[in-house]
Amino acid sequence: MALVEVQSVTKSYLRRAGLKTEERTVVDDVSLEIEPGETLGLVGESGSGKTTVARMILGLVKPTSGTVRVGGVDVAVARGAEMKKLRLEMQPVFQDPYAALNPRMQVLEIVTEPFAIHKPGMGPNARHAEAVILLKQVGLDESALGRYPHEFSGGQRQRINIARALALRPKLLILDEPVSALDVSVGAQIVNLLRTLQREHGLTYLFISHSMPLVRYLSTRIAVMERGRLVEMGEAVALCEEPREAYTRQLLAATPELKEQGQGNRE
Amino acid sequence: MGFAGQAWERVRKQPLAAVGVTLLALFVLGGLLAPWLSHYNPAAIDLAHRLQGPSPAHWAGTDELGRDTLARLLWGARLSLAVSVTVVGASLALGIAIGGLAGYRGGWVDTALTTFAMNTFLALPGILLAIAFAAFLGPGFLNLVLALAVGGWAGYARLVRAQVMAVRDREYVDAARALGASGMRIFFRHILPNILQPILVQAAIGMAGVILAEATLSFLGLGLPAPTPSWGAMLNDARSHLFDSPHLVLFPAAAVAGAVLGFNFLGDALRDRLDPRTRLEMGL
Repeated sequence: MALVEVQSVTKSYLRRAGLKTEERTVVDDVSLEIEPGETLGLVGESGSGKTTVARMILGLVKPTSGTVRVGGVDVAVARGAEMKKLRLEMQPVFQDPYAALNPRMQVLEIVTEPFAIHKPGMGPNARHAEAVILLKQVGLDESALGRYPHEFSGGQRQRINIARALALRPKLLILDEPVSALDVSVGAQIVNLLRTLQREHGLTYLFISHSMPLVRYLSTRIAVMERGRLVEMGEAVALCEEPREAYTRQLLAATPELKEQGQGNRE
Repeated sequence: MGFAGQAWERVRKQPLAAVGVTLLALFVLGGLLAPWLSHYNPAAIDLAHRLQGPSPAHWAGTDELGRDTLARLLWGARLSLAVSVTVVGASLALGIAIGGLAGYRGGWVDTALTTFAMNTFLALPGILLAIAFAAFLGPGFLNLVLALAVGGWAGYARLVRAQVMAVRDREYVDAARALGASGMRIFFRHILPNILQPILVQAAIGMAGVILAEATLSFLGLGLPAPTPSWGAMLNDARSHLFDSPHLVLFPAAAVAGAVLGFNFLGDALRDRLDPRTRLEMGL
């Protein structure tokens, strides 16, 4: 059974323009599945609705119509214990590492907040020990615990974000453009970290990006979105070698130099 | 650079803040230490020495009943301090609760709270509301606080609502939501700490407003009952001796002005510290 089943979800917002109320459809009838252990790449330019799809899977946004199931549970109607279980199964890593960390919390608090919420019985010593293990996994030193987010670089902050996402040992990580706010070299380190973590923990990824080569490098399958619609989906290699849609070809052609690099890494 | 050097550096960069802090220190220390700073009882009548000018025995003179003005000023500071802290605290609590709920929930909750609760109170002049409530409730400390808080909370609620709306959709709030944090946890751990600074600025300036409003109510005879020393009541008592004993007007008026200025300067200084444009100039 697929870990994530998205069945013809649509999300539209009402927008008031003067006296008229307009309906704007951000995601239009999108269906996709994510199998355990795979990486599904979701590409498309800004405004294509990728992030909204991610937020609907996370349960942060309710679909206007259609259903999202994670592990067989309907995300939009899950409550209480069911919702809590879903939280343990999937966690997000957001695009902007500067905005995703509460500036008034120390790293220890940030990384152990999942325990404070889900394991209230856990003592401070146990939490501290867990935090050290988590930071080690993402390549950060214990000394980071007592510091505040602004003291870190973008790449280090994204590592803190990943550490927090891993705290509850989720099966699924929703990676919403996790490297697009970073320098290329720093982004590459994060991408490699994500690959290592996936191998070690058997994680499933939904990897959202606007960069075709990056998605190709990481993904087993790729889904392409254009203005709210899913236009093409298929095995990563096949889709990149023989794109059926003109839009996919455009995306592939938009970053020719990086494509070379992506192929280089593949070999 | 030593501590004194650092302190001087701060004073040089924000001279008004230093003035404000000094005024507030005088006000707060005077109010807290009133019984130890003056051995006169502020309510003790001494008709043999009425309407005296400043002298070594009575540094700020005596009023028409022979009461020591300095003692009454210090005890008046104590009252102002107690009233302003309680009123701002109560208004702030109500403002955070209502403004927070409106901003965090949005939708019809926001519409109901903003249009019907906040805007109604914001449309009425605060001092008029306070006068009406004080006259209606009668004298007493709690009634005074209530009367002033009734007019004050809506301003904080509006500010809190706007700030919450600005922070509510930040990614760290989404991250907490995705972790399954409760609404309370998100509000008190993730939203409130990040909007506290502008609220503190408003609270500092609000303290000045409450001191002024308390003095106004006391001046009108709607404050605490007679023997209680209050700056507004002192000014009212002094009206009939404006020309023969001007010090009776001068000292309480200066006290009100000083405390109000102090809080305003402090509020401005806090705001300057928060404003990123001025932060650069200050080399932060």
